Amino acid sequence: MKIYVVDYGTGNVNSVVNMLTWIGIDSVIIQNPKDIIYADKVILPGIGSFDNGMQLLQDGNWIDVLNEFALIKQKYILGICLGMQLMCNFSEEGTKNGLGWIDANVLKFNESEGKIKIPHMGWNNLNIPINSSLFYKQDFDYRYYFVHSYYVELNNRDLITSYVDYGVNFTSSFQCDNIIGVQFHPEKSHKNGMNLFSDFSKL
Amino acid sequence: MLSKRVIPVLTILDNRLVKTEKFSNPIYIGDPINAIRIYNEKEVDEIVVLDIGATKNGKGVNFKLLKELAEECFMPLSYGGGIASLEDAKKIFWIGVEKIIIQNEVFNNPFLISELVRIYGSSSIVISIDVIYSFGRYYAYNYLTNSIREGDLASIIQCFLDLGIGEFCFNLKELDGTLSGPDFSFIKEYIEKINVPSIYIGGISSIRDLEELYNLNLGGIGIGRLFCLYGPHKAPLIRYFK
Repeated sequence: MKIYVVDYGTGNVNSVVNMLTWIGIDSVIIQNPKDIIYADKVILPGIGSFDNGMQLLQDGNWIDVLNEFALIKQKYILGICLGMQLMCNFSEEGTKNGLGWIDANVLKFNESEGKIKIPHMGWNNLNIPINSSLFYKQDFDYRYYFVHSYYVELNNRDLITSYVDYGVNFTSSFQCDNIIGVQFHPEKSHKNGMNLFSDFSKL
Repeated sequence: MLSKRVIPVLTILDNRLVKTEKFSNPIYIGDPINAIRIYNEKEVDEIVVLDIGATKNGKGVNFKLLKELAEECFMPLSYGGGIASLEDAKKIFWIGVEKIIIQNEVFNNPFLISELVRIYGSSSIVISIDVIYSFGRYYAYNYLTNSIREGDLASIIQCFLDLGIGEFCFNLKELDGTLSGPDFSFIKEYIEKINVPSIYIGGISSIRDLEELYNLNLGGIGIGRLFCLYGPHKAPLIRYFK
């Protein structure tokens, strides 16, 4: 089983592939939307601004094939950082509509709430409200690397698989059946990231 | 809770890992790829790589070396040195670098910064400012011309904040490679007042320094000599603790 990593022009695709290769998971970078028909599992990475990400998905003709993959075929897709945010309805960072797979909006951290510095940058621990397919270990220190100025606010809080306290309790990951988003960077989180990728590959 | 990042800062000159003292006299330490591999095994919080010859020698970014470094890095990697265009930035991110660090080009071309922020978002762009202390004041320093940059440091910082910068990296020239302790007054006077994360680099000599820095309001602690040279005779030794 191969993991397909979408290279739509933003994002550190090679970091993701480097880690997958390191832990022995077969992966391929795809730059042509047609190639997604061969995929059983997709990772949608992303660095950068919301509008730029949506624009690149649009210009590269990714939106229809991604919709088909996630909503019709309902195969597993993991959005990382901006990739997670693009799965939502809209973002305060921009004016474009997101993919709208998850009923959620992306909001900016409020500086005045608890003297926080923005971006939220560095290693933080997840709080796990319920067991989910990626976060299931008891009393485990799920610690990951974050770098972001906006966060996902879900309308359906049952989809929250982890949250982090940074001025507010924000959603650090969600899962809606086959659609998974993580705000942190597993590809940059040492062994915890490797474990997450490994668990994702086994879904 | 968000923990403070303790960050080995690797300086590279002509593909070799070196350590400078007050920005001069580079001492050869070893192969940068090997060093990154060791830091990776030690699961460090983050890595900063600065190619200190890229702009000065006019060679620009060494993408080949950077790619080899990124392949060894399962922690966040920031790179600075010779970045002069959007095209450079695009290639560097694609290689697998999370953040790019820019110093000289931002003073020449502030438009580049606003473009980078628009495309890659503020959290991926770090502005690096070398700092010197002269006649009772702090100034931005230009290592290319060995001179002070025009303008009040606080206004320079504000100017970059207005462009939407998400992180600063302050490198104190006179403390570089000296192990003489960090400049707490600079941190209090400047870094703690900035509402984006900042990395402080310069003079950190011991775990005690680190402990003191943990209590201050800064994002990251950048460490050079303490994590790559050991003892008064400066024997190369890659190590990490926090």
